[in-house]
Amino acid sequence: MSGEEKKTKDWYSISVKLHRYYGGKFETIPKVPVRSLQDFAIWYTPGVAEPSRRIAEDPELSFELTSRWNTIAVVSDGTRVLGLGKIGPEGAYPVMEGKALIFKYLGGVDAVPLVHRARDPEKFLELLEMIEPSYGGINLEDIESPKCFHILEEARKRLNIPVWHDDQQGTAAITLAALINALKIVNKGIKDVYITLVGAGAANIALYRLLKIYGADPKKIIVTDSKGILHPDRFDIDKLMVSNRWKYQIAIETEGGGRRGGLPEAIKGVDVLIAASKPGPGTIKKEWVATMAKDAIVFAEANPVPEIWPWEAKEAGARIVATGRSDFPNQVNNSLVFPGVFRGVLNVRAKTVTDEMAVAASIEIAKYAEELGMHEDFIVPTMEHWEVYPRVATAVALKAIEQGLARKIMSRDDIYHMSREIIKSTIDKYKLLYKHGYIKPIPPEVDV
Amino acid sequence: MYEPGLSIRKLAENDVASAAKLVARFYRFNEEFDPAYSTVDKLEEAALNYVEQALGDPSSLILGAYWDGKLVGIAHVKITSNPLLKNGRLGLLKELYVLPRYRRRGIASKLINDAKTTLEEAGVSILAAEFPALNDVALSFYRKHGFRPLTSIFIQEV
Repeated sequence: MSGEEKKTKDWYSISVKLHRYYGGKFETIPKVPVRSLQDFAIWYTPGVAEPSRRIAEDPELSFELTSRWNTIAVVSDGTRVLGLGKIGPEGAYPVMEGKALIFKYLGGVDAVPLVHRARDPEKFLELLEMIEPSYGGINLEDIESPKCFHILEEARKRLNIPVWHDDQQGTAAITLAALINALKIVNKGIKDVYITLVGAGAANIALYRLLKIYGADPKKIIVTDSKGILHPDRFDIDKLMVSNRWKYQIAIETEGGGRRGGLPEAIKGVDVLIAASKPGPGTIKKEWVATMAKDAIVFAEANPVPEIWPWEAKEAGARIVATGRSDFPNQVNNSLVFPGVFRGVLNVRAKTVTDEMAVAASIEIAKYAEELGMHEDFIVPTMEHWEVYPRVATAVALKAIEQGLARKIMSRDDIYHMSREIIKSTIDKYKLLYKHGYIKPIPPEVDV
Repeated sequence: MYEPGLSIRKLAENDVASAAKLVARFYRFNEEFDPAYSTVDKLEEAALNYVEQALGDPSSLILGAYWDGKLVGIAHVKITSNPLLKNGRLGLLKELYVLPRYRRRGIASKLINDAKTTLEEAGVSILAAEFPALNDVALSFYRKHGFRPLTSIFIQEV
């Protein structure tokens, strides 16, 4: 067993012990004073009848008189959980709880895990429509591809609250942020570069959409899947039209960047290589990276092992390398995106969250890293730089207002201060509970 | 003859081989929707015979879509008649196919419109289209172009 594997194994065993010790990661605590039991007359009957009556008259008031404005559901059918595959809703639950924890801690967002058995896409969508009145937003998670594209597209049309699929937009947005800064460092323009996307799953198909919005030229984008470059002459192209119309559309729009073949042909001479595919090492070969253009940018995002080790990519001549891992420089981490995105859309009660808002988040994250002093090994902030969250929130909320999708119009300053205040007070509250022992410390027998 | 951009005209004799390739692709695509659509082993050869015959058949109409002079799409309409019905003469679109890289340019729509014009001139008042019931792409394409379901064909193995 290598050192890496041993380290992962230890996390597994510690994690099970602690999940058992705490009995999961969540509880709910009311936020209103209960001075005496008399106060229940305000919060419950008879008083509560009046807020209910008013909301019945004007359902939009549910964003003012209930917790809906700050509450989202983290929804999964458990069909593609982490790298574990189709492990079912119960198996997905700890992951959804973990996500909810990050939502709260970094974005001040009240997130509720909601795992379910509606695997059929239509049933899944029906479920989302039915639960919509409870929430200010929906975060979709760990749903298999290509079903996830259909569900996101349709849910965005049918629901009047933001629906976000983090494996698509979250990962794509942080990748775009990293690319924006990498291009600044090598002094190349988005319109000029050739970009190869290895893997045509949730992350890269969403990234393709964001790249187009940011100004990349589709004819200079090459996308590959397990059968090679997606192009209009591929043997299975008509079948893709039915089985995966997103890949089909990419094949038609990009024309394979004028290329045919597999990974070596897709990578040769390009400026940017972004892999979100199969764990490595060796998925991307060093000799292929060596054929890339000068000042090559290589992102290898597979977990737990990147498609190519960063040092291999560098040895092959890559100038800027990023991975999905926190133990290497330049972690492409979607946790930098989703807490701020939801903070932003919830603050202005947005009716949806668009790809343009995701791009606004990318631009803001990139700008923030630049202000912190970006260099080849620092193209995106880390989670430690918590200022990134109110900044992302502000950028996203302003974009929502600009696109006419916000229920509430606020100034830049107001959005920023509201975001900062909510996030900061959440962390403060959490620290206080811990300090006073209401959140129990980790027991000494568990060696962390 | 070279024409820039798109032109639609009756299939030329010397384009039979390229047309056959498009017909073969059409059947290979529809194959997956039902075992009854399984294609023969030498599909390309069969398609060539099929197109040659259709070209010589007075009740068949094959339109070719040419992009910069190159054949990129076809529509094959077969005229059938039922003497018991008022509108008994019907043009049945047997195959419609556009090469993937030339899609999203309205070529299939143009093929359909030109087929309609030709049928009208021949006194045929109905254009019909045939496709596997489970081909949702075809279904939504024809619905979008104003077609409505007329006949259902149910099958079983004997």
